[in-house]
Amino acid sequence: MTDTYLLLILGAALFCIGVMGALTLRNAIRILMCIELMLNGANVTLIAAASSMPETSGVGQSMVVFAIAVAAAETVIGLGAIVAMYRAKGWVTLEKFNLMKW
Amino acid sequence: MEHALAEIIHESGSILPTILAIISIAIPFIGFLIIGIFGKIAKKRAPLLGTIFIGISMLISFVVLLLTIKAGVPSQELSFTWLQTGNYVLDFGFRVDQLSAVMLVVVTVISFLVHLFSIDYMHGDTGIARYYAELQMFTTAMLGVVTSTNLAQLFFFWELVGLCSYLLIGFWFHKKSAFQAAKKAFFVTKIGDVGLFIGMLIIFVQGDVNGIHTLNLAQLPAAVKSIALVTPALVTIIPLSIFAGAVGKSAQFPLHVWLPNAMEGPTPVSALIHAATMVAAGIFLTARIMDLFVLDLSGTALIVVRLFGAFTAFFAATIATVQDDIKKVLAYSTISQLGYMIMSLGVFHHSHGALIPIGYTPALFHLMNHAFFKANLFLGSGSVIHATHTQNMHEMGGLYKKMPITGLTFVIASLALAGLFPLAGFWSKDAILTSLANTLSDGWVSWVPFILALCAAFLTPYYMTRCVWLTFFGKPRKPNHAHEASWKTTLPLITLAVLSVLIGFVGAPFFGELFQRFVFFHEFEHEVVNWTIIFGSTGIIFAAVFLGLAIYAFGWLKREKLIRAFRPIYVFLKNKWFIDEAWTFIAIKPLFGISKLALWIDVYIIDGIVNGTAWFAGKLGQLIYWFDSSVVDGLVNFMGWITVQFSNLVKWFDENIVDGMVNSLAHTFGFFGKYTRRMQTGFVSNYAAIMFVSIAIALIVVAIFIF
Amino acid sequence: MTLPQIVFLVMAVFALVFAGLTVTVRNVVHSIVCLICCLLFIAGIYISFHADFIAAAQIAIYVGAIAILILFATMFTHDPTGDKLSHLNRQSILGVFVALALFGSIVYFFIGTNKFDQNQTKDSPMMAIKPINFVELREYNEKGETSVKVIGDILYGKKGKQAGYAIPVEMASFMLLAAIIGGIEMAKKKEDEV
Repeated sequence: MTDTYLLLILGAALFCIGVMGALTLRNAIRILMCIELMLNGANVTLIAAASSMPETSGVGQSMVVFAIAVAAAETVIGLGAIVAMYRAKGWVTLEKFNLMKW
Repeated sequence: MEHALAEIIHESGSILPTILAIISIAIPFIGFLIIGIFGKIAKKRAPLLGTIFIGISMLISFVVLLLTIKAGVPSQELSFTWLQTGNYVLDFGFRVDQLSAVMLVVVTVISFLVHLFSIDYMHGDTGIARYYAELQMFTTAMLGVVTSTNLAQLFFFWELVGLCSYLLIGFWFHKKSAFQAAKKAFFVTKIGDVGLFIGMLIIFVQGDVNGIHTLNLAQLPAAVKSIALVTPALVTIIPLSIFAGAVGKSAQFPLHVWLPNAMEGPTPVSALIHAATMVAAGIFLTARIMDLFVLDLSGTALIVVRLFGAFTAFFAATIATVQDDIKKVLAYSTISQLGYMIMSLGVFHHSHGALIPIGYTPALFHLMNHAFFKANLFLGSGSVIHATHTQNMHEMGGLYKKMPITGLTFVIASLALAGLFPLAGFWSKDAILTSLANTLSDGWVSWVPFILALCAAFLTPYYMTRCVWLTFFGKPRKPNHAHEASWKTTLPLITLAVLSVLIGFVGAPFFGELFQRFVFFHEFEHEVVNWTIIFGSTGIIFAAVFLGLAIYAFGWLKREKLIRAFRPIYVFLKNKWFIDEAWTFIAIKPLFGISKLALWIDVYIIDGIVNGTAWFAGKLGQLIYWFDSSVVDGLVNFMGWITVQFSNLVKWFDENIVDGMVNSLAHTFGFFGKYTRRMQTGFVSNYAAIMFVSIAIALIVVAIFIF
Repeated sequence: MTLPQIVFLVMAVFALVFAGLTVTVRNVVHSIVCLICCLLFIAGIYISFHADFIAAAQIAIYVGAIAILILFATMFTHDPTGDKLSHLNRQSILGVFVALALFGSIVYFFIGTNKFDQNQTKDSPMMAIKPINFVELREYNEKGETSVKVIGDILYGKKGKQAGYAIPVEMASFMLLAAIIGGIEMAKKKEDEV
């Protein structure tokens, strides 16, 4: 149970907590926050892999840089969508958006 | 021109008269066709056209007569074979001999004058085109009769004449009396025609001329002679049966009954047909077959003819004395005069074992004269009727002042009819009486006709005086507005009156006896003048006229007193000797009885058989129907029932099994779908959950199996 | 148990706790604050693993921009009618189990298949990750370069074994530009709205 393993487990745990939140929460904003958690979990896993290979740790960190950029962009878009949803309906409860129900 | 003509006509029998005769026959026929076809369009022109046609035909007849007079012999025959079967030959041809030439002229002249008279008389009648067409046809037929060479052809034209007479008598066919009169004329003459036909048949079948059976007029004597070798009795019967046709056509007793009724037709028709021409056809026929009569050496045939004629002449004259209708007087007068002619044809001499009919020429001479003055009388009566609109003489009177031309011509013609010297009737009537007187030595067969003829000679002037006086003289019994008609009416009257005066001289003994030299039987007979007859007949005429005037003009003998005195005779005469009633009893009632019997047979027996057969057929049909409906249809229905059951089975199979399979398949899908569609919740988190679960599963699977 | 390890473990635990709190607290603003704290602790973990630039980037971007943005959005989309209801939807239990299953599978995949020390017959991606401890983590860069420089060389450099990812950087900037434009367009008020 080396540190690398622990960091990997942390990353997996963060990811799974984020999954749990994404699946169980009602407010769309909070689901977006849990998606941020999932992304962070992925980032942590990347850092764990990068740090286990010190010679090439820069590569892993570069990937994390990109991942953070992507996370930011995706958050912007998601929030814009949620604001548009709020404008259209007046609420952002994801449970109520079930027009595609059979 | 004269030289050429002489050359032509001095051949024995030139063809020119025949050709001209054919043309003069054809012209009225063409007129008939034109007026008949276009008559409806050209109603105004039909009279003029018809008159012109007949005028042309008349002129041609004059030429024919002149040619025949110059030639002195009959013209050449122009004929072709009409029908031939083995030895039986009928030819069709035309020939003009002296008698034909005279008849041609007489017929066309009177026809022309009648056409002219009718222009005014029939003016305004809606059927005027039909009238003229029928007149033309009649003229054609009559001219055909007088120029025929074959007895069958003569019969053909004879019947055609009868048809035209029927059409013209019944011209005003809306009137019941008119069309009934037409029917009567046709049927009565048809009875005579039966005799004619039987005679023709006997000659045609039995007669044998060098192995050929023919009806050519020239060969008739030879045919009858060949029959006489086998059956002598036929030599009397054949001419008499042919004579029966003449009895019908010339209105002799007992077939005279149609002529008084024929007065229903228009008066010009009466003038043409029933005075001058058609009735003369019977005389003509008898004259034509005179050769056959003289074959009967016993003279029986001719005596029968003579007696018929004499009796007719007498009895018709008696009836004429009590007629009130002017046309009926003239009708009976015609019958009487025809009787004279028939009687004259039956007068003969025995000489050298042969019979010489000395009355042949006088009869034909009287025929010609009678045609003219009788036509004049009829046309005059037509003018009178047209003016006074009545036919009853007792309603007329005093017309002489108002219609002088009609009156004068009427008087002249009636004097001619009476036989006053020197008018036409005198010469011909006296010729007849003279020829009859010359045979008085033969016994009662000559005396009886002679007495009857003298009585008729007395009665004729009497009834004509009565007629003339009642019509033209005295005070008008009924007011009328009579006036003379146009020249188209008076010209024919004047013409005929002139002819009535002058025509007699062609046959007068002191003026050359032209007629006798022209028309004769085998040889010219010079007539001996019998002064007794001349003076006696003149005396009779004066006495009769005096009696007539005494009763009607001077009023010395009152008519009513005479009627009361002689009441039975009056009634007998007034009812025309009850001959019509006799005919009804003898012929009409049995005929009706036979037809009723025939009807009974037809209705009960024949129709009974037919109905019985139909009933039987019906029963048979019912049997077949039963068989069909129960047996055959039963079979068919059973087959149908089986088919229905089978189709029910198939239906069960189809509904339950086939459809069941299909439905169960659908239900399976539906069943699964009901549950699987719940997967689509529309809830994104559900989808995400499924996704993550599958990721987890995939990771585990990969981890286990690959790594 | 050296000090870096203990520090690491404490920060990991706090990070997990705050992450759990983010999911479970009722109030939205509270959960955002918890998220911020979690992110901060994660940044601390980054630092302990010698990824200092990433830690700075995390704090600057994640906490400073994204979390604040989420906070603004929360202000915009406040729904008063949902305050009385639960913050969990109807598949909360299922979500827990799914997350546990996923956690289990991921952990097994990471740990179970990592046989770095042993001879492998198959290539596993986990073979690349060598499990090491903190004591072995040191500033092993002989040149004395900071991680910033290393990352900079890799991203923008022209020579070296891993170098020249400039074009992906530009593409990332395009992506951000598109995100900005898209976000503005989606979120702006339309003309016909008040």
